[in-house]
Amino acid sequence: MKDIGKEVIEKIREEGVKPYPRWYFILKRSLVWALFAGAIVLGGMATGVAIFQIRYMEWDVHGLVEKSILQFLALALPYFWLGFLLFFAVIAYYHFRKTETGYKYGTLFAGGGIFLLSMLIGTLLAGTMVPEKLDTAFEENLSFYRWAEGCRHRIWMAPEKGFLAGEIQREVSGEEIVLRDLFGVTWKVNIKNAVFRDHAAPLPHQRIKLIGKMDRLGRFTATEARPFRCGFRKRNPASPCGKRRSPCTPPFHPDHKAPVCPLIPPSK
Amino acid sequence: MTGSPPAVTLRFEELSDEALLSLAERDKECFYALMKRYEKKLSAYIRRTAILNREDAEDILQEVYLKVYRNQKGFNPDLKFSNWIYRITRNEVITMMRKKKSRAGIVSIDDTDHDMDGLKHLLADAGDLQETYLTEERASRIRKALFEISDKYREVLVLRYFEDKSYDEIGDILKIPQGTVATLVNRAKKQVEKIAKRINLME
Repeated sequence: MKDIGKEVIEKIREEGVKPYPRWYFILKRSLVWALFAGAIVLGGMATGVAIFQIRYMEWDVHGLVEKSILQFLALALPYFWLGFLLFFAVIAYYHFRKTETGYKYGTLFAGGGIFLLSMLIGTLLAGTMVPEKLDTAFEENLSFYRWAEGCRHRIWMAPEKGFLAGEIQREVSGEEIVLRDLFGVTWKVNIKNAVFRDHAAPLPHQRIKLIGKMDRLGRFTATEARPFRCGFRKRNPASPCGKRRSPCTPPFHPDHKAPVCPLIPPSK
Repeated sequence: MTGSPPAVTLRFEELSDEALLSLAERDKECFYALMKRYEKKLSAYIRRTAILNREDAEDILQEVYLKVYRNQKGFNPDLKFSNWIYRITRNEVITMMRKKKSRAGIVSIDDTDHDMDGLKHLLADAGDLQETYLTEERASRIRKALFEISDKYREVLVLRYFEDKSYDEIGDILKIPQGTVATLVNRAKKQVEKIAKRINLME
C-alpha cells in the first residue's frame, strides 16, 4: 500500500493547500444560528397573529350559529397563520439540526422546544400592535390572504340562519345596499334598522358581516353590521367582537329595548 | 517532502490527536504523524462500509486527510478528534458511493483477528452465542448474510462491534441522538440474531 500520508503532504505543499481561516467557520456557524433564530422569530410572529385572530374570533357568534365549540373552531381557526408557524418551525428545526450540537437532541425535544419558543414569542407579541399591523398589511397586499380569510369567515355564509358576509357593491338608498356575498351571489339588503358597529359603514367596497333575517322571498334584512375583521384599533368599547357573551345579550338592536336575535324570537 | 517518511512514531506518540492537529499547519510532520495514526483504522473502516476497489479507498482516505487539513480550524474541541475524522470519512464514503452509484455493504469483514473478534462480539451480544460455535466456515456465511441487513443497521454494527465505538461516539459520528443509536443497534442485533438462527449458529 502506498504512503497516503506522504502523498497528502506533497499535495499540500505543491498545491499550496491552506486551512480555511477561523472566521469562515465562525461565520458559517453564526449564519446557521441566525437562520434558526430568524425562523423562530417569524414563527413567533405567526403565532402572535394567530393568537390575535383567535382572541377576536367573535365568540358571541358561536351560540348564534348553533354549532358546537369544536365545529366553530374548525371553521374559524386561523389556518393561514398556523400553517406559517408550522413552516417556520420546520425551517428552525432544520437549522437547529445543522448546529454543532443540534443532532444530540431527539426530534420530540427539539421540535417541542421550537414550538414552545415560538409560542412564547407569539404570546409576548400578541400584547403589541405587531400582529394587527401584520394582519392588515397582508389583508391589503395579498389577494391570496384575502381569499384565505374569506374561507375562515364562511361560518357567516348562512343567510337562512341570519348570517351574511360579503362586499358592498353600492348603496341603493339610505335603507338598502347591494352586497356580493363570499360565494359571489348578489343580495339586496335592507339596512334600515341595522346597527353599524366599529368602523363598518354602508360604503361601496367595504367588506362587512351582517346579522339579520332572511324572509321567505330570500330578501335579507340586517339588524347588525360588523366590519369584516374584528378586533382592530378602530373598535369601540361596545364592540361585541372578541367578547364572550350570551347570544342575545343587548345591544343587538338600535332601540336597546329588547334583544333581537335572528335565531331566537324575542320574548313577549 | 522527499525521501523516507520521518521517524514519527517515537517523537509524536505522546501527543494527543488534538495537539497534533493544532500543530499541523506549522509542522507538517505533526500532520503526517496524525495521518499515520489513523491510516489503518480508517482504511479498515472504509473497507468495512463500502464496496470499493483499493484505488477508490485510497482516494477516499486522501480526500479525508485533505479535508481534515483544510477544516482544522473548524474542529470543535468539544468533540473527540477520532469521532470527527470518522464522521468526515463516512461522509466521503457516501459521496464516493453516490458517484459510483454503488451499494454499501460489509465486504471486507475478513479473517483478521480483529474482525473475527468483532464478529464474535456481535453474535454474542445478539444471542448469547458461544464463541466456540463460530467456525471460520460459519463466520464466512454470516459475512455473506450481513449483506441482507439494511445500510443504516450495518453502519451502526460496524461502528459498534468492529470499530469499538460507544453509543455516544456513534451518535457523534453519525450525527444522531444517542437514543436513536441504541434503537438502531438493538434492531440491527435482532436482524443478526435472525440470520444466525437461520444458518443454525444458535439454538
